[in-house]
Amino acid sequence: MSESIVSARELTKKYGSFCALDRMDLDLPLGRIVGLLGPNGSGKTTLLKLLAGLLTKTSGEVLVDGMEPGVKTKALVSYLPERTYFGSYMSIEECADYFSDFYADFDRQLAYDMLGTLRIPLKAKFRTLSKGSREKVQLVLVMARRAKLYLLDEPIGGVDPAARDYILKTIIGNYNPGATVLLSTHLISDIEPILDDFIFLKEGRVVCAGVADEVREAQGKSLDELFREVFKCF
Amino acid sequence: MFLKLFKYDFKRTRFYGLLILAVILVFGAALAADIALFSHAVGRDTGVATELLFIGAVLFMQFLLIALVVLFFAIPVLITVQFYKNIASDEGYLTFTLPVSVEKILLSKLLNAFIWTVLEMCALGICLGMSFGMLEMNTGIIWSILPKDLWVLLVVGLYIVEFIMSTMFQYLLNFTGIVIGSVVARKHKALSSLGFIVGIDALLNLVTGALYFGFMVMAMFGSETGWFLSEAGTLTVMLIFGLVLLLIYAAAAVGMWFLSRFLLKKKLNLA
Repeated sequence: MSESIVSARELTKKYGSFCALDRMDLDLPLGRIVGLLGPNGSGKTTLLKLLAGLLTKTSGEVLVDGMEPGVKTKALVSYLPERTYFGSYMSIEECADYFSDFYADFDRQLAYDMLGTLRIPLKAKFRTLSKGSREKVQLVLVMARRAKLYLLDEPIGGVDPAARDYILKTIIGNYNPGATVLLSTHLISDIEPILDDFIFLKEGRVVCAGVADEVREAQGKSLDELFREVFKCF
Repeated sequence: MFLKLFKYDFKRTRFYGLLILAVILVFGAALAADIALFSHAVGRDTGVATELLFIGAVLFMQFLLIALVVLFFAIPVLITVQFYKNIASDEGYLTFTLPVSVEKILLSKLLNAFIWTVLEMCALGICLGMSFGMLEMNTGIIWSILPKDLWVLLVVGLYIVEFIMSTMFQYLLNFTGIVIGSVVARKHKALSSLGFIVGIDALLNLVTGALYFGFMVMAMFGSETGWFLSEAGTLTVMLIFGLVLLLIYAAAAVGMWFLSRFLLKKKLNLA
């Protein structure tokens, strides 16, 4: 197996008495697109926030490129949250300036090329865009970084099927090939074609993980079918 | 990175801030011009014109005062609201995934607040300077009545420093209230933040009030012995009181800084 970009041992995160991540062990190799799949409350967002440095662990160990999440790892990680995080007063150009100022790996030309295909004027204010367009702009900026690790939290949640196709194409077509993409979603059938690996999370634990093609070849099942089997509601 | 953070903080405040400053300077200039004409006309037989100039001066002075009140109220509100949005709203996802330390984030916002406080003082100084300057040019009385002793200038300087420091303390208190409020609350973070700002302020007032009460009691007993009424006694008590107050505020400022830093590093709660 190639070098790990993310490594977690006995990783635990508690919110009061609620255990969001329960002694999780995880290794993510470089250069893979990994689906983080699981029902609501399984710990997907918590794991992504921990890796992005937005949360601190309760116990255990988590390393990103061999370092504890912090200022240095934030320079290597490109994170897309579920929320729209740009100020509504900002124009698209100002958002790009912001990324350019703070992230040394931001490729402005790549971002402008992608925005050009969306036909969103650079001078347009964020508040004037539709919800779908805001999400696309945010994804474009996140993917225009030459990061080592992309963390995408529900990138296709809440957008129409046509927009989903655009988002998936943007992810595949623009990520740094040597990097790892970890994306969480419920919409497994939509993202299945682009996944190299998958991780199923349930109640803060990894219940199943592997290579997507192996599941299809060895078990003759799609990831969607396997997911429904593992998370069957009784 | 720190200067870049500051650049964006200042950029967000500058539109409304500079607009209010411009209005103040316009009123200040109008008042100064009116005072120049009025002081020139007084003593000359210009009749109604002098009275109109006097009314104008009073009106411009009132407008200027209102604009100054707006400035000294609006800028802190603007900066505090922006801090809240930057830290506790969805914008926090961007703020806290930047490759910069929490200390730099907090310091850049305090620097922005400091720059605006200095700009407020400058605007006030320019307005006063213009008006008094015009009066001096026409009457020559201002310079003659201005105290020129070094200690008076020192006291005025100390008051300005004290004003800036207390304003910065209030900003730190507001920021800390927001940090605690946003970490503690799951919903209604703005309300929770406001509650903590008022709460910390009240607590500090309670502590300093109790201290003041203690000194008053001490003064009453001291008066009976006659020691407090002596010049040395009064000065000693005032000095001790001042130093204790300074220590309390310094300790509170250090405490608030480390608490905010700790909470933003370890207990960040972005919904």
